[in-house]
Amino acid sequence: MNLDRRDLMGHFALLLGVAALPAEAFAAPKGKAKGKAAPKKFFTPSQTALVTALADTFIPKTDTPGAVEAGVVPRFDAMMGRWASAKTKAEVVAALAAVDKMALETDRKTFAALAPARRKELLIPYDKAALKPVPPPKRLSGLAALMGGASFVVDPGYSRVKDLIIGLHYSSEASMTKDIIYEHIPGPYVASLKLTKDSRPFSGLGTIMG
Amino acid sequence: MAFDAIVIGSGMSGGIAAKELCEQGLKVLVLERGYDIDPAKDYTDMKMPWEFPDMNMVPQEEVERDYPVQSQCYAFNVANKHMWVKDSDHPYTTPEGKPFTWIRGYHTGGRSIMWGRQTYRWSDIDFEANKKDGYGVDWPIRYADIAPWYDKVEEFIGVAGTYESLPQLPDGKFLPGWELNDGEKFLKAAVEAKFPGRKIIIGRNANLSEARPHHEELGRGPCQNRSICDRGCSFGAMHSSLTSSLPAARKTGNLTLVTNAIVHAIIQDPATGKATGVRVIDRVTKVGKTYEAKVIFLNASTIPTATILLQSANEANPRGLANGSDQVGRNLMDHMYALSTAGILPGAPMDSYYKGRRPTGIYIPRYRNVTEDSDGYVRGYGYQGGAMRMTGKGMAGGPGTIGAEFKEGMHKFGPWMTFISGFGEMLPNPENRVTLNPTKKDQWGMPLPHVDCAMGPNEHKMVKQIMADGKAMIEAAGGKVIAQASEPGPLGLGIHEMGTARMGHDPKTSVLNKYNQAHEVPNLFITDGAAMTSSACVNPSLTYMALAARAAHHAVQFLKEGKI
Repeated sequence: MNLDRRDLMGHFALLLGVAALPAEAFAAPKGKAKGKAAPKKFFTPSQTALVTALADTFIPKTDTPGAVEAGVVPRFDAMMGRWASAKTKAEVVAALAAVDKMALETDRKTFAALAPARRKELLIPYDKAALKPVPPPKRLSGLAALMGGASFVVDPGYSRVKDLIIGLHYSSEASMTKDIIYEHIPGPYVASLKLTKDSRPFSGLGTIMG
Repeated sequence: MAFDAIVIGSGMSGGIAAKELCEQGLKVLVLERGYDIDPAKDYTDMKMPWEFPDMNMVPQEEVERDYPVQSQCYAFNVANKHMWVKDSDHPYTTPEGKPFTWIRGYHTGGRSIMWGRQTYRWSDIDFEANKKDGYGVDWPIRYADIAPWYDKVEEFIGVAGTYESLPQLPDGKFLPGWELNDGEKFLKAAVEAKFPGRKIIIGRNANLSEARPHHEELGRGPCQNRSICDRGCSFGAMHSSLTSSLPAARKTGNLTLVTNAIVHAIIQDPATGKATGVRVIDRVTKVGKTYEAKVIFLNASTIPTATILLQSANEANPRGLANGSDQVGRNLMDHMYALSTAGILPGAPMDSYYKGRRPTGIYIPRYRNVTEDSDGYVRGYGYQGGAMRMTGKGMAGGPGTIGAEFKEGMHKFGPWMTFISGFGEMLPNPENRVTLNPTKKDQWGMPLPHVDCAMGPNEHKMVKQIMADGKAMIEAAGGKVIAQASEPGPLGLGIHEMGTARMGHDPKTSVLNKYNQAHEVPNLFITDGAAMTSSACVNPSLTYMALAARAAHHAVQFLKEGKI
């Protein structure tokens, strides 16, 4: 078995029965690996710590993998470098700064420096306020009217950060193989399946049909 | 090498034309303007979701720069980005304030690789519509003329569906249809009880619910209910030109396929009026070349078919080839699309779910101006949609739900949600037109297509009733509407362009005769969307394929008889 530092931390967490670790535990090791240039990071170390803390607060490890364990943080970083437009990058960075500002104003600590329980306590009202719907700036037509009605909120940057973390988690191998299961080749279609207390939704993909 | 026939375009209709001509013994050259797809390399359907970067989303700035149009298609993503044209490489123009969302795929098989697979026959209600209400010109054929070709194509491609005995939606040669889920059965019972004459059926789709021996001979197997058809199907369960038509043509030994061959013009012999060949430009090297044949099938797809005819103008035909009627490029139609209504069905069975990702949804065949009057317009519309259990982020809790509670919520099953999306028929209008841009050229030196298309008063009237009916049907099932589109998506996004070289009786008002043969160029046949005289409200691909098979049969007959 080949375990990297992140895997080891995950194992320790499991042994200790810890569901949420301080961000520092997951921070990338300092310095470069010999002979191999580290991939260019989008987030600064402090932003990485904040994203890690947010990911762990949104989706902690329970009986199923949490977002940190699922590798959301490096994938989020890569996505920002590769996928995000300049506008999205600015939006995300501003939203992260606002979360830290809130934590500093209330507790005089960065969000990442807070204990997991306190992070959650602070983030719940913040989340409610940030995601409060607002009217769309212009009249929507066609599919945008159907699908976009709920996507206009007080803080679109925060909404984006949350959506990306959740999306990256639930599209990760860890989640799709251990939590919301994705069957790549379902085989015959079963049109009617009786639910039991143990039933869980399947991970959907590529269609909104049942 | 000498060819009997050239087929321009390897997509949905070109593939069938090539197959039929090859099977009847003709040496056929298929010209494809795009690259040759290699399923082993270009299909991505065996990759797991987490193997695609960035949640399968194409980088935002790349979308804005290179794919502003293609990205509007629901199926555009990282997994199949290589199957859509780069808009930046293939520009076209539209008038200010009149967008046309032209979705394209330039490669072997064309858009048949990414199509939605909904497969319906037209009925005599459709073929008689123009004559009955006076819009456009009369179709030179009726259902009886095309029915045997529908049979032939359906059996070949494999269409799953149920037998319903509806005059407006003829039954075909079906493989077993997929089953409705319990939410859909609930909706069906309620709607059919409240609105006699309206039916909810399973969508008829070109996926193999069962593979018959002739499918297996081509290496095709049954559908695995993955619903990632738009990445290419390694099981061969979905019909595409690449999966079915071209392999069948290849089996005859009569097929030659040349890719990266952009057709510039069809060459006409001024003495005989016949087409003698096709002038192409190599996409990569930009070197020109001419191919000759006795018969030409033009299946470049509706807009390029029109531009090729217009670019083929010569001294005798300054307005363009086969354009004595001045109808080439005119009467462009698409289906009104994205007229969706979504609602919750609290009464549907809460102890039920489903397994697998079915490759089709529900279909509500047209009933307006069939079993029910309309609100002051001609023609009608159908609906596509489905019902599903609400799961995922929406069910996990609203703002403020985070942590373990959110994760637990992701395991919940919410109520049934349904959505139905109207597809409305668009009337032929000569002012909806494709022309050649007089000043702008592409990198191969050809004029850019200029697409000028807008909805008319009949379409606008229809939209209101599509939305009202959508709401009424969901409410008939005790449902609560939660979202509704206010107007159709932009024209073009229906991805059913039609009408730019229409069939008709009269050479003065149409481009093609009842055999899809150009009135003025006897050895030129057009069997893609351009040939359509009206648009009906059902997905048109099956009709293109049936017309292609029928025209190929007649073309061979005419060749044998020395008529062309």
